Amino acid sequence: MKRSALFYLHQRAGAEFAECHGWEMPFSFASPEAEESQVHEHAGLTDLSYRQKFDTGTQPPPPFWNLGKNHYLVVGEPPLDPPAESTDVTGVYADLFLAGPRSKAVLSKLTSLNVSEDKFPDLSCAQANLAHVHAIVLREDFRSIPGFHILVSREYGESVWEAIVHAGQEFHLQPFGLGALRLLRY
Amino acid sequence: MKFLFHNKPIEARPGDTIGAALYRNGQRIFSRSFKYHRPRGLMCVSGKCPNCLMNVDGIPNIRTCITPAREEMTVKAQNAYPSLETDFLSITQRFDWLMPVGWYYKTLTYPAMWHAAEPTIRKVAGLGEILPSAPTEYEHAWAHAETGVIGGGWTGMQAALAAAERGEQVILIDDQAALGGQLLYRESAGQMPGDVIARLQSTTNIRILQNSYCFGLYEGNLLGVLQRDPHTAVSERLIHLRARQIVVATGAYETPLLFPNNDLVGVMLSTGVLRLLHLYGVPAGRRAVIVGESAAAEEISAELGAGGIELMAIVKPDAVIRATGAGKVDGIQTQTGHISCDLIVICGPRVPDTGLIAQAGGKIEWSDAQGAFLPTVLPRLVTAVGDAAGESIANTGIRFAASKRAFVCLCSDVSSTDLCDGIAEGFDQIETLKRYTTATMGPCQGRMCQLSAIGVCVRETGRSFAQTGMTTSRPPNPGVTLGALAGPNHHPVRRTPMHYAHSNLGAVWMDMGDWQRPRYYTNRSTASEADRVLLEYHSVREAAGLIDVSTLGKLDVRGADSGKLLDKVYTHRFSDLRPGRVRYALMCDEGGVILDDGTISRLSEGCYFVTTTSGNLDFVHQWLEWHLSCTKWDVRITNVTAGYGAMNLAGPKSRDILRELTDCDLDSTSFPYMACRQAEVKGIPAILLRIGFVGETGWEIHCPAESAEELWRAILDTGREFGIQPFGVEAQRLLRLEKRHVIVGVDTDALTNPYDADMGWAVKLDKNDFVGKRLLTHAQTTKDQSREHLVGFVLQAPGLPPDGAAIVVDGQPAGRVTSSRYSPAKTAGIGLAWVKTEKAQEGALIDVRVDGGLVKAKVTMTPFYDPEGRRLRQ
Repeated sequence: MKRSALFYLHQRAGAEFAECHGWEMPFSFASPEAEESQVHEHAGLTDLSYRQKFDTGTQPPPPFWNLGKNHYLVVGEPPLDPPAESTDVTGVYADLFLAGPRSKAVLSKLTSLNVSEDKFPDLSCAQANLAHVHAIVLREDFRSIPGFHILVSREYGESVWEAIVHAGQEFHLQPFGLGALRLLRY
Repeated sequence: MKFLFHNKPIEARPGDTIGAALYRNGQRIFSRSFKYHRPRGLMCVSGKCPNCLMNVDGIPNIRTCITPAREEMTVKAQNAYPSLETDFLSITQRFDWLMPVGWYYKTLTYPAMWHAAEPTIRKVAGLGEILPSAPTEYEHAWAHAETGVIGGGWTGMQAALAAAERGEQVILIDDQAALGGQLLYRESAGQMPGDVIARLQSTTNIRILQNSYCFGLYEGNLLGVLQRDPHTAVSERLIHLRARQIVVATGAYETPLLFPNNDLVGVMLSTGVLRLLHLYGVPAGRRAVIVGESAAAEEISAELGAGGIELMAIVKPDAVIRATGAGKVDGIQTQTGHISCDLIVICGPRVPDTGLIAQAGGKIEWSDAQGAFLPTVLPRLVTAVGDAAGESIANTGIRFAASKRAFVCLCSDVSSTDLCDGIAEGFDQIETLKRYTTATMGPCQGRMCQLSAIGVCVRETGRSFAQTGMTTSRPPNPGVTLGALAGPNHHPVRRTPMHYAHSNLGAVWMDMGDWQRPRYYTNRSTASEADRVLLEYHSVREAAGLIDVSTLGKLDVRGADSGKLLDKVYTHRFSDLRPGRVRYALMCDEGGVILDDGTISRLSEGCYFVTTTSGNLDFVHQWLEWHLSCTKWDVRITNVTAGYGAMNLAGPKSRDILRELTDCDLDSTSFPYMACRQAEVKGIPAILLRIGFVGETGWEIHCPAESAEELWRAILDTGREFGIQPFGVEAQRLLRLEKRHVIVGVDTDALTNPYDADMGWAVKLDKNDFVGKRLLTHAQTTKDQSREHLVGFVLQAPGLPPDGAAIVVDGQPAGRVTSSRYSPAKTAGIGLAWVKTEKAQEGALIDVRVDGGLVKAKVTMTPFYDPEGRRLRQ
């Protein structure tokens, strides 16, 4: 099965794994219910690297993220149809999803990017330096809980995850798995 | 609560600072001065002077007068041996005549004396000592605001409320434990309105940063803020604060007066006495003499009386002859006689804190009327309010005497006489005087001494204050620890998809930039590195080896004009590269100098797969985009480095192994050397490049990163019966060296063109214009004989030169070694070196410097192993 850059890190954290579109992803670390309420009250971090990603220079049909002039990113749950003239960059990025009411506070310890409500509302995207690594930040709230996808080049995955967990300690940030994600979304 | 001071428990009350608690418990000497080890006691009680610096919990130079006491802290004095009460080094005072200002520039210049003296001086100099084991935790944070207000005194609080009322997001920064500024300890400053703090705390668009000082104002209104929160385990938090506009409400601070023995224990600033009294309930002494002009002195005398301190006299600054006492004040000698006392209260000049305004580019000019340097011109979006702008500043009677023991700079023990001597020696500008005497360069950064130093300079040179000016204020001021600037101990590390597979095989790691790569594998063996590397080498030559090359840069280049772009930027031709073929790719700059190399594979009509050296990917990507940007060509370049794991399977048995895992036809007739195919290997989609960096039959296999570890393990499992070994960077270096394969940046440098390194075959001068064509054509036709040439050499005797070792011909330096290893194929040391043209001949003899001696070597112009490349093509 396919593995993300964080596989061994999840293993060390005691994750129980499940299959997700051909990838071996963490289903839970403690229990989906406990993880879900942690995200609701404080903050959580999960690994969504299995999501398909395409990089293209021509505007694709929505939904898409406009990263710059002639630079678009399409990211989503598999299976996704590759947009015309795009390059598959699924494996290039590790996709770390930081969510919860304290997620902005965690980010403020890692990056100079202004993630305040008026400057970076839901569905904004930006590129910034985060934990000393170049990152693409995509804001995707769900049900009024702020959420931020942090895309970094795969080889930095462990470094950035560890930096986020360290910064999140004072805000009671906990990792969460697919089980909790499902509960949060529906 | 209790804390330990030199193993003695000290009682502290809630809200006490370490300094206040020590003072309440009778401690009077807090430190010994830098040069003369004079005893020093609390003076400013506001973290501005250097007198209270101590070592707290292993961390040196802590300002104990403003650091809150905590249960179980351990506090120790520093720079005092054997103790604060008795310091042997205070004997240096007797020899001050040997150490006038700048003495170390003028003495000890006899070689013998300097070598003897330097170690002693180094040991004796300095204040605190760093203990690497002291536990520290540093944090960084970023904040954004429309208005940043620096200073939480009355004016600052008002400014913050006003900005918040206008609907702005406000951040209020205050360096004390509580808001209020002077209102907290100076009754004459006014009463604290009860609701102001409550209003500030309840206004949602005001964020208050307490215990935070602003050490610098940088371009774009970026503020550097250092927060020391006593309630967390974080030692220091560095906050990068970007504010659209800034209000400087930093107020003013009091500085000492100059008179002989003005640094004795028991000489304190009036604001220091008031702070000790009102913030901590500690009377600074029993019998006090106030030195100051009438108005200020009267103010203080009333407050002292209320605090239970007996007022002996008020003395005008001009009437002071000297303070008296051995170490501690026992009285003051005035023009009208001697007065006994145990406390001298100085009503010194008040200096507006304008450092940040100067850093922002504002103008600070002298005002005769107010006796202070005040901001006159402010940059856009920066305002100064309150005492920082000079609101209630009225300094009269500033006295600048010249006397041996009138200390100007407390941090470095610089007296007014030292300043006069410096001026007499010609350092009569304030900036040069500062550098020569080191006045204002200590921990206080001029807060206690800048005005006095300028005053002495004015007095001695006859110039005015306006003409003399101030020294430049530079951040960080006050100082910041390097740890705070560095932040959390977190250095990003780059790991390949096979990282843990390598760990399990006992990889010994090496750092290549941020990447971690296996240098070699121990694989449960206790053999030495040399033996393990040799084992890996022989496996590749005789059976098969597998190396992780995922760190290679990889670019996906597609679009109708891709070939044109590659032709323009690389020296070879790529537009005519047939799908299914790979070509060596060499890149030069406009000067014909080699920038990078790699391979380019044509995967399909409109798609190229470009590899680069590990460290240069970002540069190559930018270089390609740059050259694309001035055309209208249809090309799209995507960095897919991280998306592919890559491994090189090489060796005579590599085909046998790979055959078990793929249906792709691997025969040399269908899959020749320098061809590429896309096929599934163990069910995983892969790009196979038949290239040979290490000189054996082999394939560079690229597959999606998420499956790379699986493929790695599959190849090792299948290859076990064939004798496969994983091999690391060290073995790879040896293998490629035997094939005379050049590593750009190791064997080439910033002057190398392809012809110097026998790579002219990779340059197609008959192309259209490309980057470097003009100068490469020139190089190729001119064949400049004065240029050096890259050659191989075989050592004729034992010994191995290090990288960079000199090549010697007829006793003269004639080149240098770039790489060298012991070659099993040649059973001798081999290497690559730059030599002069005369020696770039097969069989030429050169000398190589090895271990201080010379070893003979023979030049060779062909690879050391399999020169015809037969094994590669098998």
